[in-house]
Amino acid sequence: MSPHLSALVIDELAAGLPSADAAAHLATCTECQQRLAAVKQASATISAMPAFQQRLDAVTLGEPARRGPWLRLVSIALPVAAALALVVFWPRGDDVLLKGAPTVELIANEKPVMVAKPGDRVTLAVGGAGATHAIVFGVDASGTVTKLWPAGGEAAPIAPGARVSLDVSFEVTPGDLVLLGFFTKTTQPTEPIREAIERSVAGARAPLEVLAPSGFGAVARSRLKVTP
Amino acid sequence: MVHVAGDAGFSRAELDQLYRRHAPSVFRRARRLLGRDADAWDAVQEVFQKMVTAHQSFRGEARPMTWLYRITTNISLNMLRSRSLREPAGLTVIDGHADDGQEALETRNLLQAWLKGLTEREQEIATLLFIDGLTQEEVADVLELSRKTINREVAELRAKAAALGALPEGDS
Repeated sequence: MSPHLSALVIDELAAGLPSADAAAHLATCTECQQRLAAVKQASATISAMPAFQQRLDAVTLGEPARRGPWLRLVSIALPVAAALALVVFWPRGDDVLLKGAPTVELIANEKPVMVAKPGDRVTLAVGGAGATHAIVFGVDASGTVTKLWPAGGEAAPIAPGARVSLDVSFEVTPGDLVLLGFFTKTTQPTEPIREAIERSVAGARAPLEVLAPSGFGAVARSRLKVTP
Repeated sequence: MVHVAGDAGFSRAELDQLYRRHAPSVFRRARRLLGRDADAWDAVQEVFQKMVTAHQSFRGEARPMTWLYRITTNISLNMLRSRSLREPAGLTVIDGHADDGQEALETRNLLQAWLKGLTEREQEIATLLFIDGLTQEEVADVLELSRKTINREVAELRAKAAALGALPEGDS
């Protein structure tokens, strides 16, 4: 008996890709037959999930799909929080968009949050002002630059609207934070922006006074004050 | 915005067919690495957006599943790195891990150890070898490495992961 089929080959067979070598083994190996059946069953279950079609739409039509239920459940439980002051920079140049200024903010109960306490829960929200893609970074008092959204390495699509929840929620921890949002009409990689922010932090009087670097689209900036 | 590429890209019907054929396996692998459905669907979306933008690379693969494994691993590990980076920065992402058992917990613990102690190449090899259960030859195909290179890198990886105390049970 030859060794069992690898996960890669099982995936190929489940996807209907030909594998002549595997066919001979599969015909005589009950264990691999069961593994293949289990993968096919799992694939059928996954294909029936609502997100399956939503993500296909997002890929083919550029419409961002909604995030999974765990974040929405968290959002329901968000506490009421204080108001948020927002400073927006709207650079002129090639990336100027059409509809006013973009915004980046943390919200709770659909209201902006400017001051929060450790343990509060907040959700990231943006207003693209005509932009179709966004990236949001955070800078803390130590100068650490953290990409808050999206998870991947490219700007992600955003829905139109003045305050669009990105459905990524956070628990506030001690230390103030500056949010920097970058808005464009096409996708762009996130890492050059991180590097530019880090250079900007190095040149700032204090990390929380960092200015958003130019050349990466329209910019929005806000600051979260965290009280004890 | 329409991601479907022009003349040399995928038609809408072709992309639809590729997605229906391959998205379930991409989701299962991403879910195992990322631990939660929402992130896994994000990874699925990114993988297929990458397929659209890199359609020539995908079409050029003699074995399309190796391309999908490579890109899914790369995107999922990037997401894990991003997740681990953003936690200390004043906000902590609220964790939505599903209650999916001891094996999933061990996988996440291994990944966390690898993210801290291994290079990005080593993380990819470890993921494909120890979590996905690929053979060394298949890992070489997925990462487009020679057999000689993968043999050497796996030997070094095993030693390094063992020193970190981060080899799966049965591989130490």
